[in-house]
Amino acid sequence: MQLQVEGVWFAVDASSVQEILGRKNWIAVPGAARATPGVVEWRGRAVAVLDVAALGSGGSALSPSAPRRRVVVTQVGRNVLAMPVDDVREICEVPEERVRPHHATNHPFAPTEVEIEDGKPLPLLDLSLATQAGAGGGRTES
Amino acid sequence: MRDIRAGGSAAAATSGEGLRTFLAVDAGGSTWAVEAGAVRRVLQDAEWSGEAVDVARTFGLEIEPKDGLGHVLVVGKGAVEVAVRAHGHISLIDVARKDVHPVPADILGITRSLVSEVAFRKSSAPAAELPPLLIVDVAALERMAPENSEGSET
Repeated sequence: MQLQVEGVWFAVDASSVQEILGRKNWIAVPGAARATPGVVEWRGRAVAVLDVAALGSGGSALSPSAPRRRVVVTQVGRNVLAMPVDDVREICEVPEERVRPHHATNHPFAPTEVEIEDGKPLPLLDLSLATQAGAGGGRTES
Repeated sequence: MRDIRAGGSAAAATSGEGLRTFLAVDAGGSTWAVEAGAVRRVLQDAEWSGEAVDVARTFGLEIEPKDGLGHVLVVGKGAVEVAVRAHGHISLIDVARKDVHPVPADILGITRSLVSEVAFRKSSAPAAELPPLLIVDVAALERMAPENSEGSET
């Protein structure tokens, strides 16, 4: 599945996606990591928000006062992550050989890239790595 | 939402079935809260002479001191009591248990944070939205109590 955050397109493994929601408010948790700055309510629980823009792709950090247009909820192992994104494209099937170690793209949380139909490779986000970035990453200012 | 007056005891606040009751404090556009049953006394600033944990400052919230709204909550569940500074308006709030959720502290990287839970409150009015509560863990507050620096009521 292709996602866009702050003008940058990424891919994630569609099998991890649980649900795609519309714009949804989230709450900043003081002291939380920059990549996982707060929580959002989803199916009667508080799940961590993952700000893809804070993972090194540039762009403005997520703000509670300006939620993004879509929220992609993913399951990563035992953890559930909610990723606010600006745009989502349909799921596409890609042959294994089009997933390869990153070469044209360079993203710290995407050791592989995937070539979608137009031939342009996209960083394939490793959400397990991203989760670890939250647990051990830099703090928010608050 | 019910107001409580300084000097009153919140410990008597009881929760109805399916509800939890919190003392909520407005702070810099956010609202933090502590379980009402753990609040032993609510004092005016001037009635407390010791040190007090400043939750809003710990959270990095912008506080605009307002005349007459400075209070100290004396909080504790066991032998330890800790004084907590409350800069803003204090309310008693009932929240449905189902709306209170533990924060995924390990993912957020805040395993020793003051915030243990959040409450997403539902309004009966369709368009109205109530601000969520950041619920402060009493045990974490007790750990922040300055050693041998028990304050006293003046």
